[in-house]
Amino acid sequence: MTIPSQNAASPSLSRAIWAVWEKDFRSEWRSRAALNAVVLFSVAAPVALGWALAKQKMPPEALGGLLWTTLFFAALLGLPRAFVKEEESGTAALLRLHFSSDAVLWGKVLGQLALLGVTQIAAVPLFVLLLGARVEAPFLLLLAVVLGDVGLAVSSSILGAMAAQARSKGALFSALAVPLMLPLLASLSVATGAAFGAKIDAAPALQVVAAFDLVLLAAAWMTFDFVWN
Amino acid sequence: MFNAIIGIWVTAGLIIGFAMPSALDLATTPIAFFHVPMAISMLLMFLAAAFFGVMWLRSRNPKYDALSLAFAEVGFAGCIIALVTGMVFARTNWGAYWSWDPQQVGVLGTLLTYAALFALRGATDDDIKKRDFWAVYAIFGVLVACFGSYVYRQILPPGSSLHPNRTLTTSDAAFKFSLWFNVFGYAMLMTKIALIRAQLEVAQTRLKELSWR
Amino acid sequence: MALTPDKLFVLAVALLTWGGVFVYLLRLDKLAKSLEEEVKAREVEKVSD
Repeated sequence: MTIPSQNAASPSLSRAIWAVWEKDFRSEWRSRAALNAVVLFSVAAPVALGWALAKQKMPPEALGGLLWTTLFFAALLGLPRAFVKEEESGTAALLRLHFSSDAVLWGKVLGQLALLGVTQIAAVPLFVLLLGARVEAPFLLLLAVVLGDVGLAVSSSILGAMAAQARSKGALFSALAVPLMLPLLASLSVATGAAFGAKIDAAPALQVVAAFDLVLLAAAWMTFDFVWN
Repeated sequence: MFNAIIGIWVTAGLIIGFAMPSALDLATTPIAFFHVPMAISMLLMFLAAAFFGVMWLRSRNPKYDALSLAFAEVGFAGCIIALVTGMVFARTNWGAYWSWDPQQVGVLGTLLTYAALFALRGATDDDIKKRDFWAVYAIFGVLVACFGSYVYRQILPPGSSLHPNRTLTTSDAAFKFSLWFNVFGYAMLMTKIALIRAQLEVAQTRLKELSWR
Repeated sequence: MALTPDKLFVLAVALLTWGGVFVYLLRLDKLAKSLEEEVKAREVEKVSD
């Protein structure tokens, strides 16, 4: 059986990336499995923190760390799904057949970014509201969130692809992702603390996040082919 | 020959470390000349592991994979030694073995990264895939190692870490000599161990292939 | 940090430990070499079969 597809004449990379993203978006929209889990967690976590830390005055440095711990664990819940579901439903082979590995990587990265973005639109304001953080530098906060999401999306894509092809996928993904994301978590907490009004210089932390993102992007782009095929 | 050089070099390094006059506040005890060289050689080993990972991806020669594995393992051992000697050092200088200092946390993160790397190798069945995954994660791992052992305490506001920053930049000539003499010695020693380990790994793979034939 | 007697004791312990590690290293080196030779010999044997 030949598969009649528009990909026979090797479409442009951007079209292929878009196709991968759209496919993921449709299947996610139908079930909303990952989105539900991540949104629920990132809403429940600040509420739980609010209960646990009721009436305590939190210094901005601690709030920055708490925000990123919440977002980080929320991300760990939803992000591995992107590749695990392909392997579980047996669609990974189709994906390999139809699209170049670059298209798969960037399509998945965009998908992860969308998932992170949607959850954070809900989670960050809620966190700020519930825990009484004062956002003194909104743009700094936005920059930290965007840079952090890029790093989380890229690293989770390549690690997810690895973990999905190994045994004990879910547990392995966390074991792989947590240490690799620690530098992001640490630097973002510092930067976000500054955005919440801590008297720290956020520039070196943001530079580290940006540099880490760039290296992750380059390394993922160069090595994804080996992981995927 | 190489063995003899290593033997003499490391022995001399140990004696020099003990005979050094107390240099500044960086080397109040001789363990400074073991702890710091161990941390630096650990990073060198992890860099070598990433380098041979790249070589494996490019050449598909299992020898490079064995070398990458060997250097990562030796680096992991060095990481544990650096952490433990760091704790002993911290007990004399800061008053407690473990104080959640950014430096200690950073090295702990590095340790976790490489533990995950070994777990990844164990969790993959396919022989080629296993090596590919290993190489890719070893490349990412060395980033975490650099961040955890050096960059992390630099981006925090000054005063968050008790760990001295001037270890590598001090101009004290005697201290510098003693430090780099030891770094070179331990780097050579660890390289030798890694080479033996790689040799054993290659032999093991070949034996496995022989038994299948 | 002159070499006081207690420092000398620690140095002696360190040197002894290092000596043990080094002797073990030499043994391991010899072992690895002989293993490699053996594997090579076996491979030749297999090919000639």
